[in-house]
Amino acid sequence: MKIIFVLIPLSLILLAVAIWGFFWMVRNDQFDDLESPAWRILTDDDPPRPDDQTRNEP
Amino acid sequence: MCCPGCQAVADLIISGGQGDYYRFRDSTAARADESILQNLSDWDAFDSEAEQVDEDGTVGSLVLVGGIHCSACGWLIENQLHRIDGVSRVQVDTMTRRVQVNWAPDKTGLPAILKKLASLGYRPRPMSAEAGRDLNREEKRTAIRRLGVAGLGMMQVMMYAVGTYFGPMGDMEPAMERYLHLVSMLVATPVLVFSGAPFFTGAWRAIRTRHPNMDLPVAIALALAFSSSCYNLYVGHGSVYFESVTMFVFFLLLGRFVEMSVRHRSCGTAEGLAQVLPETARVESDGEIQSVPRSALTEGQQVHVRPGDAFAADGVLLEPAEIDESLLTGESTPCLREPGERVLAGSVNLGSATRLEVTATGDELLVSQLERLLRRARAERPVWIRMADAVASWVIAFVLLLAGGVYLVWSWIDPSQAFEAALAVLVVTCPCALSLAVPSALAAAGARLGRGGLLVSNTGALMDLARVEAVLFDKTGTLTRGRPQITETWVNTGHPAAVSQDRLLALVGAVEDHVSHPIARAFQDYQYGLQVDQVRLQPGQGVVARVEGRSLQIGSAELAGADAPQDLTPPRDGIVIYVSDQQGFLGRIVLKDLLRPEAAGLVQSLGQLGIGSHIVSGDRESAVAAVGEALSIAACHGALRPEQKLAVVRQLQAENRRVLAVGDGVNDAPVLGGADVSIAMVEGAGLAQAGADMVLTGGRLDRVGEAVKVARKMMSIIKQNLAWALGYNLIAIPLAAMGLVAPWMAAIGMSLSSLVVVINAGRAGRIAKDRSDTDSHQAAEAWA
Repeated sequence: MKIIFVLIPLSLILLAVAIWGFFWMVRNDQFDDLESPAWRILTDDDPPRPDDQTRNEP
Repeated sequence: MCCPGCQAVADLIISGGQGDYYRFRDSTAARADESILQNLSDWDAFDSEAEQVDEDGTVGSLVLVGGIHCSACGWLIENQLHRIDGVSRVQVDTMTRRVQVNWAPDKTGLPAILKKLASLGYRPRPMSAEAGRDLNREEKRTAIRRLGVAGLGMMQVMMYAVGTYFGPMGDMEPAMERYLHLVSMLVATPVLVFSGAPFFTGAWRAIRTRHPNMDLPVAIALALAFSSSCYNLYVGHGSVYFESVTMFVFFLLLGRFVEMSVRHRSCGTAEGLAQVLPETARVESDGEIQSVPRSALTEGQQVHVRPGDAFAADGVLLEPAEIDESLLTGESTPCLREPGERVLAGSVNLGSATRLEVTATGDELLVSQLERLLRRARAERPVWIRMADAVASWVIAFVLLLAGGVYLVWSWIDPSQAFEAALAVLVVTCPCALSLAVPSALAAAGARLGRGGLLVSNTGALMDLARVEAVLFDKTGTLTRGRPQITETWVNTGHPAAVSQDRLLALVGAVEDHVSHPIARAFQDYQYGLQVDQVRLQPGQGVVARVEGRSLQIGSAELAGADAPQDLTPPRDGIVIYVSDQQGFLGRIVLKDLLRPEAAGLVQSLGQLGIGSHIVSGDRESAVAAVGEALSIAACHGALRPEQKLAVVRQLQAENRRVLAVGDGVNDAPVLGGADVSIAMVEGAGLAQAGADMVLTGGRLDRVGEAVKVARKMMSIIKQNLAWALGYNLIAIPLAAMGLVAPWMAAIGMSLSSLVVVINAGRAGRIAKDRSDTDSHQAAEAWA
């Protein structure tokens, strides 16, 4: 079990890297919108018309 | 600093404000010097901006305050600002974190108020939409970072802790166990210091202002658990709670994060008002037309407005125009305005290009006034939250005193047990079950209503919904569909090339397809792709076009009704469209804004629930009375301005009745904000939705009655939950105080209690659904 004394510090380093990566992602706008990405799979590639009840185009 | 000029000004201000600065630093030791310096200059720069003079001679300003957590903060800010000499009125809106302050200009000023707010540890900004967005983003990102660190840290510490749990069973060496504890401490420290920081700052604020809040027991429990764990680790015996500390931080942060997201979302929609108005306007100066930002518009300028554009400022028309004011008045019928008449920013120019002379901009716009009225109404809402909060702060003070007392008593009986007993009291009373009892039931009921098409943006309002005794409906767009529909078609059989009713509708529909006009929408089912050309709009009159070889005139009686038979009497109400071609009068079509089919049923079922219905509308008295008659609503108020509508709400509230408001237009926004509970129609204006607690999608008005039933069921579940949580605490606290409960038992008991509450709440959602469905069936049978 001596290996634990090496593996745990190693896991701590990984943890530090993970937190650094997380901060980097936050800084790069990855977490600014937490709601719409979940719905993105349901939307078509074409953005829907803002109000498809109106037929205003001449 | 953006430029040397700003630098010079800032230097001047800082040297002038030195005394204050040091005074404030004494009371805010934790704050960085730079940020104070920077804020100080910010505040003085905002001195003259963002102020408006109110009717009672005081100067007012809307301030965005970063760092508001809960309604306790609102209480604190109100209290502290009132201590400044000269401040006459403080209204805090914790939802959007805006504070409306009024003060006597000869006694104090905006900088003093902003400095006071900063000295309390908040981040004040005088209002502008941009500042609101930036602050939100900053706050959200910090919260996500804290949550991420706490989550990752919690998982690691739990992993080490599971290892030590199996220690006694296996053959773990003491050295290994200490090593795992040491590593746990290493990971738990950043979680506590970085992620747990908000609880400590909140607790510090509570101590400084002597107003206990939820942060105080949390911070004390965290600090005690962590420091005792460290001490036990150092001396080499006793239990450690690093895993509890990290979990506690993580789950509390999670709750805070959800609360913050909701707050930001409502704030985001409130910002939507600015989007209603165009950012730029085309201003005529020296014979040239220039595009200028809306904020640079001044009174007296002449603005050109193209067809289809919205007006950027309130003003007086210089040319006739046909405008759509539905956004402002909720009135769907477009109106024709002559030169010299007033138009309001946010209205849309439907006809040809027009000009107006600007009479009001910025804060003086009617839309801005409505927005302020909405915010004020929402801040002045009679709230139970504040009462619940006052109770909570007493409970917290009681728990703290109790824990202290338990510690003292035990250190007298048996000092070795004193600490554990005090900690157990803190943990066991940690008001998790109590605080879950209400939100979990609210969430279940909210989800249930959401599936039915009623989106709940302020779940707390569901509790008020259960006690509603009066409902105020707007007319246009709420009780009615809000857009005209074809109700009658009459064809002139005497015409040489007479057409059938369907053919007439098809002809008109083909032309209306080329027109952007609210009336044109009524014809969208009658478009069969007929050949149309030479479409010409006649502002205020109608439209002229060629369809399949016929030259059609469609519109008012003057335009197309000249050859109409004399005995064709105009209908009692509604919009009449006359159609004629080169050979004479073809026919006419009548459009009406019809009642929603469920409206009558809703009013009846509300009556069964003991809730009285009222109509408040900006429309003509006669039109409102007609709708009231059709729905058998006796209390109808017509021709009301937004502030008069709000007065109706206040009057009902003064009679001690809880009021639900249902509306859709910008003019309804103050009513929606001022009522105890409010529902906005999804087709309505963004501002109305921002002021509303719930948004009704799909136009199913009957959901409103259903919502009341669900809310009432929910209230009984909440009462059960509260009774359970209170009972649990009443049993557990004495046990913990007697030292019979170890901290780990307290933690398990707390979790189980929370679990019971959550499961019961889930049941609430299901029951609410089943029972309300059968209820509505019974109601349907009863009325069949």
